[in-house]
Amino acid sequence: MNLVIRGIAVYLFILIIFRIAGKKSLSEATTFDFVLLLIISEVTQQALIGEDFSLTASFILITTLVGLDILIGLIKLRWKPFATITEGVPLIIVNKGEVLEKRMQKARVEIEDVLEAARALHGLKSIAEVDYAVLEMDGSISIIPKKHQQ
Amino acid sequence: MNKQNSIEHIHHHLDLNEKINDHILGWKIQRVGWVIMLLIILAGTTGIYGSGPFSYRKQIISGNILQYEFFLRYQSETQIKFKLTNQTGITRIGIPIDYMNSFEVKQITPQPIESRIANKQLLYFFAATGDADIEFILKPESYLNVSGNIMVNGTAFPVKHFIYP
Repeated sequence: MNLVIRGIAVYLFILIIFRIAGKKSLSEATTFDFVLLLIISEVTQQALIGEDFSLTASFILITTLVGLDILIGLIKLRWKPFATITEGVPLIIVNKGEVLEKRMQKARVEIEDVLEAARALHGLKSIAEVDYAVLEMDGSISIIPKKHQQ
Repeated sequence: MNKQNSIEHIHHHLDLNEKINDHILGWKIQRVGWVIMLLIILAGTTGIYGSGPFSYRKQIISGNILQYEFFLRYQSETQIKFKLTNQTGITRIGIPIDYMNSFEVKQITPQPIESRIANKQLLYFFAATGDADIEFILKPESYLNVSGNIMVNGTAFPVKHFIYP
């Protein structure tokens, strides 16, 4: 198969599969997740180049992948719904101190994840000290402490 | 209370448009995606993408058996096995050139004593008496549907493949 078509197919497949996997998969990268990503990259590499180990093939594929990334970035910039589809939008999971359990359940985030972010980012001791917690588009959790904590 | 209503709709003071309805739709699509992923894994296990029970084919004609795989993957090696009985000296296997254009021959076991091209066929001759097992290892080099009649001592064994990209 043509290298450019392979590059586009792999790029789109990875985009879809990670979108389906959800934010949770990126928020809590463990050692195992890291190893899994390495395995995925190895499998992808073989599918991309096949038995063509030439410099030309690598240049074509790198250009295709980076070019496609720029194109997707431009489309996201000009057409917001596309950005929503491909990247999602932030989700509030603690609102004015209230833990929004249904949202957390759907987003596969646990209270321990919020507490960990609260400790790491602001040195907070309990959920009672959190005003807002937001699950960001990249899967990280932002914490806004209650005013008297700041 | 339905599932959508069970998701908390809130008022907040953050400069953030969280579009909760998009999230709800996204979660639904995500669940559908998980089901599709599960189906892909099941299909992979059962051989819909090759190397599994749904892919294996066996043809028995006059006591001779031909085993091959229907579903193949591009550049992923496959075996075509002949289990032949009552051979009396020279066994002749003829494979159409049109069919062989879709494959690269990686290995033939045992080695044929002779091979030649005749009547748009690749003819392989093997020294064999009694029962004989002959195996071709082929690597697909094209896509989609490939078919042909493999001739074993003049008897046609129709073979069909579907090759995934």
